[in-house]
Amino acid sequence: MTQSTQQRRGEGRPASSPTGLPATAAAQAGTQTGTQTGTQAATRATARVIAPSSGAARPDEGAGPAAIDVRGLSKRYGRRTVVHDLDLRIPVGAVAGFIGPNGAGKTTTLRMLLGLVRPTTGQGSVLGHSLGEPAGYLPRVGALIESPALYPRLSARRNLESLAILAGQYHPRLVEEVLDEVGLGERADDEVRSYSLGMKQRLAIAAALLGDPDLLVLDEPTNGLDPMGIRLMRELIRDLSIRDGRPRTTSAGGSVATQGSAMIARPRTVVVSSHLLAEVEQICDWIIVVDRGELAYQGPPDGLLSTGASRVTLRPEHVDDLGMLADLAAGLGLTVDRADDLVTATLPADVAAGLFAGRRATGAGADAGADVGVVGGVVGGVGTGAGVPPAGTDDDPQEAMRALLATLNRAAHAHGITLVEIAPSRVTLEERYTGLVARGAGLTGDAA
Amino acid sequence: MTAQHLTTPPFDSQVLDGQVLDGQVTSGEATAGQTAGGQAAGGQAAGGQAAGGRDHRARGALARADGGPSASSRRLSPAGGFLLTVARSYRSEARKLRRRSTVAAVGALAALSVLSSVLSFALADDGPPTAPGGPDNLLPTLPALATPAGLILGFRIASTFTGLLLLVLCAAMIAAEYNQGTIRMVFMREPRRVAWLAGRMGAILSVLAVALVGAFVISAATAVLMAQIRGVDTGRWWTDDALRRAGKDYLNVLIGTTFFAVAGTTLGLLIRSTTTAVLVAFAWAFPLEHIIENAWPDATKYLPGLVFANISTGGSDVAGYRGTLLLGILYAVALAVAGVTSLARRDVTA
Repeated sequence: MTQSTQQRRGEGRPASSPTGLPATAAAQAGTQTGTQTGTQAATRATARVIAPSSGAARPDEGAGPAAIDVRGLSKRYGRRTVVHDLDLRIPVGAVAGFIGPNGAGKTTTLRMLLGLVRPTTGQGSVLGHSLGEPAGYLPRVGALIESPALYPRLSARRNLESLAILAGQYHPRLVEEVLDEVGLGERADDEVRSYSLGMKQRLAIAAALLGDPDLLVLDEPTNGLDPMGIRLMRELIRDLSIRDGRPRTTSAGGSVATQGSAMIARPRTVVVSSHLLAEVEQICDWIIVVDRGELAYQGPPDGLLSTGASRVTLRPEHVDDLGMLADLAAGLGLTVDRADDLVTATLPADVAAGLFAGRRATGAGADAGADVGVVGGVVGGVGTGAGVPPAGTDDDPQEAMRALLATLNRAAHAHGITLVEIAPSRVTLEERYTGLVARGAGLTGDAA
Repeated sequence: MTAQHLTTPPFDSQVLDGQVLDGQVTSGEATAGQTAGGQAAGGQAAGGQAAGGRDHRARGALARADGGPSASSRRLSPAGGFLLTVARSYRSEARKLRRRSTVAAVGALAALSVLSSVLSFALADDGPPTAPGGPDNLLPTLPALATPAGLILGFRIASTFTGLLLLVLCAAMIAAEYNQGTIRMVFMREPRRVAWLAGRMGAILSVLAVALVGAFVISAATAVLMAQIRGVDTGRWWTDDALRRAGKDYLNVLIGTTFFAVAGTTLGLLIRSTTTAVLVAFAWAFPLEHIIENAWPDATKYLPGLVFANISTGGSDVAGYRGTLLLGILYAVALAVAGVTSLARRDVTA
């Protein structure tokens, strides 16, 4: 915090290493940024989980250009701290999901980024311009904050025209273009008060699209929409992340690390705040979780999901075998939950992190080069104290999970148990988020 | 030569756009410099270079095909100084004001003047030719209507109500921006809040000036008609002196209503609630000041609503004109400073 305050007053970045990291951050992240190269290094760097309470400096620095890069962001109203010492870094080209419970400080954070609310402390940049000078970057930002706010007695066209003129971006055809883009071309001359909520939402997004922004901030864009409206909004957001007809790569991490390449000539960064975690999971390749004004996680979804436990469901042919099966799984170091006719074995988070580390390092399209020995090490290590394979090996997590399943299956078979079902399942974003928020703490122990 | 130079500019000055274009191209470098050593910033600068090229590829082929603005002119035009922002805000507000409710408000203003003229003539009696305004002579006499001031006497009398109407309207309009949340849409587009307000007030006052001209003309036409009905001699209405007085009266009304508009806007900016702002404006200007005035006649010299009203009517026997005008200016400046400070410093949480 002190550092943030100093940075704000000093109107510059803090003393930095040659890589641009603050000295402490450079020291902590030095191994990664210094010894790894290319996509793997970049992706790994972006995939780290931040422990807000640890004061750890920004482990994701050096991962490439950032659309939003702020640190020490705080907002206090009297004695109440709404946002506390928030460090945010959203890579250029990411579709970032900004999630957190009601009152977590999401909207206040977005308002601070958009120049509507003055931060109590904090400094950084948005689209390369100082956070303290929103006039520098707001012309390249489109935003929808909370409910759509439009002049009800003006037509959609007139609403957009007045905003475009104000921003110095007016041309009749451009207004037509954004109206068509959100599907309101035919109702453009109707007064906004006659619109449904979904149409107002779309019009507000059209307003945000004026000027073809490089950064789009959408706060609860699906609020109040029916399922069809939500689906349309999801498709719209997906479309908005594509520019010039060039598809963005959507795999977690990979797209972020490679977005500066020629594949995407003009990356647009989208920040979506939403309570609909399934939506976020579907459309976002970058997740930010805030809770009670503090950062709980930021990074690719896989980074969040892999740090949680993974589960295996085991169902024996005979219910009488449940006890022995549970013992077997427990003996392998798995946490066992026994139900009427099945056993759910949960892989501890640290082991799961090791299992899925390979995926973060290699990306979704990695070769399926299974290394059963490593997987054996995982399983064997659980009970024996052997180490988890270091993050960054080229293991395919799917293969690793398959090997784990095979091990369990063999163990069951060796004890005369016939399994009629053995199925892996990973935690969902919702489960992981619920756990995060319930704990009200970061993931220090889970991830790094 | 860039694609931008080959295309027709939008409404904004092409010269300004050109300056911005240059500035923007170098801004990425400046960013890199400002954040020397910042890898992210360096990347951003690289992104900025990419942006320079991508502008020509951006969506908006439609605009390029028809000679409309290129993506670059769209994207690189927004920066600019205070005056440019004021101009944009003015045009933006003028576009918003092109609506039925504006026509209705202007119509109400004209109707008020007509009503005032009709009543002035209809209720005038044969008393001495004293000017109206005092508590004992709210309406003019027939001899007073035959003076050079008679032509627009109705307009002058209506001006007090016009000012109060403006006070309430402006308070409601600016507070509604907060209530409806439209203020955040505006500030996300244009963060220079004071410049935005200046342009907005300029647009509103422009409409007011035009509306007052309309009310003035209609009021005069009504006066001519009513003079014939009541048999008032209009020979002194068309002298140079009469026309000069008419022009002066118009200016006084414009100044007085402008001050009312400033007061209403400040109320809206401070209170930020449409209902409360309207209630406060109404209560302050209608009953409160007049109750005080009844108890303390000199209040007409000092209370802001009464001061503004006196300016509109060209002064009064009690308050005079010059001192009233000076005090009115002081009030207006103080209110404007309070409103601007509130606008610039307070968070937008609407």
